[in-house]
Amino acid sequence: MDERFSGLGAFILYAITTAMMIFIMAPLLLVMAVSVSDSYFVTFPPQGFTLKWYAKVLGDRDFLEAMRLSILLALGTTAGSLLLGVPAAFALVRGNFFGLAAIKGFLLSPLIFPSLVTGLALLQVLTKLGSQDARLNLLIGHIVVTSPYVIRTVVTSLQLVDENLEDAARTLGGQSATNLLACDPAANRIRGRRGRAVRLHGVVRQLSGHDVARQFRIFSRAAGPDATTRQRL
Amino acid sequence: MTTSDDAVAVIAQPEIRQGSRWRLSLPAGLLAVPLLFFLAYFFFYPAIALLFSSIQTQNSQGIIGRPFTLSHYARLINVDLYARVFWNTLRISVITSALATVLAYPVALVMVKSRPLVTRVITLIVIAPLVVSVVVRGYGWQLILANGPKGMLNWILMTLHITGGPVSILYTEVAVIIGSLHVFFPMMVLPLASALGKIDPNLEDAARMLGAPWWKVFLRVTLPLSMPGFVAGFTLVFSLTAGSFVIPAILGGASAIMLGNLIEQQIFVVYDWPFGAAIAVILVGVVFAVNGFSMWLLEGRRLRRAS
Repeated sequence: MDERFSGLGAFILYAITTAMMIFIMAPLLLVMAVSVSDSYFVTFPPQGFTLKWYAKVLGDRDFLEAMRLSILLALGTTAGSLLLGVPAAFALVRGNFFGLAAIKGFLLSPLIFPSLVTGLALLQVLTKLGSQDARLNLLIGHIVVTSPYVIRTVVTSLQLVDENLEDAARTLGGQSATNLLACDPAANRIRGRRGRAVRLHGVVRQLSGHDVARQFRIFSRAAGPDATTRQRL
Repeated sequence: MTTSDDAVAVIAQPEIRQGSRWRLSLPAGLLAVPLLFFLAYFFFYPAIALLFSSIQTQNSQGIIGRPFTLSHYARLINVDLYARVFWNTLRISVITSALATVLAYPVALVMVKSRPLVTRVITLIVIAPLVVSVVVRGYGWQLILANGPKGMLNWILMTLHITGGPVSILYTEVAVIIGSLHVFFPMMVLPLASALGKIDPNLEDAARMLGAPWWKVFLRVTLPLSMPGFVAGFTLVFSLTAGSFVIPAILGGASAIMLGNLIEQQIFVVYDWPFGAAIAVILVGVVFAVNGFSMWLLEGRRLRRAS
């Protein structure tokens, strides 16, 4: 096997690859190791083994509330960006209208915008609007940031669907909407698999979406004590 | 019997297709409208508003309005500290992307050309960090790079007697580059691997059979053919590093401030919205310029290949 690589070239390739795998995993494993370490201060190598930090965190009201908000926000963002993004992706793949390319570029543009700037811009506008519900603001910000991921994933998988199958279903009497959702086994299979990936992607982006979250946390502090109590992150 | 059915199908098909196209096209386009409105209102309009506030002035009550001015941009260029942050950001982003390229090529090559099991394990490890928050990864690096003998790196260095005393990496530019490399490495590997996977293996085999050594095969065949992946990956890593502020905030401390941190500082500490907006506009400008340049490069390649 692996006869494509041989000699010095192979050695360099595998050495760098192995080193990078260690590089990638090291900080993640270390955080896990420290989370069960017995000492109060972080030391290396980690000492002892305890689950008391987990017990402590699970009993912490602030943590539980933050966790609840994170999960709710993740679910809300996923639902929101799928509801808005999946139809838009259909439009981009199946549509045939003027300015299609421009609209596609527009819908994907939050991808290359630094999310810090997206958050700030949104914060400025929402402040002007007097939108004080930090949770709603967070939801809006996250949908803006995640919707291009939904579009990109769904567009890619829709392009793999053979349109002839849908035409066949249509000639057999199906409505176009039901074709897309039910009659078309190939589309369904792909959509199922991709859909899961999309949801995961959305949730992951959301759970690690501190860029946007941070803006609103600071914003909610600035907005007054009422907002702060509602918004513990 | 069968032939005539086929003939009917062939004749009928264009009509059905046209009909279905027409029927689908109108509602299909309308499906994009909700997201268009949503983004227009919550993304496009805010972005334009931010751009506008960067050329306006803020009075003592914190209200932003006339007169229009370019003084914020002038301040950004003239004040030494701000100019330095700008160049720091560019340098960190370029070094991170270059390092990511050099290190991602071997990983992507092994990923594409190995046994399925190896491919799967590498893919999993490359993607694994994506599901972990950047903050957690930043703290992980803080634990590794911690200054003083308690940090993992220093412990290893001192146990193996590579250095006499602890080295200080945390809160320097190097720490920010290491952290950014870790966070954005998948964005380099994945486009590269997809580009490498599209290369016809026969081309490399042919070069090898004609006697080219492995490095020449790489330089003359693999590297040029994987250019689209390289350009896409480089652009992604550069844009993301330039716009990041979590990693420099956690690992860079006061000595490696990037544009993102400067924006946050100006807006949430100094409450200077117009100046913060001006920095944001510069940041977006840099990112757009790099993206535009790479798109131009990719288009150029496509043209050359076609001709």
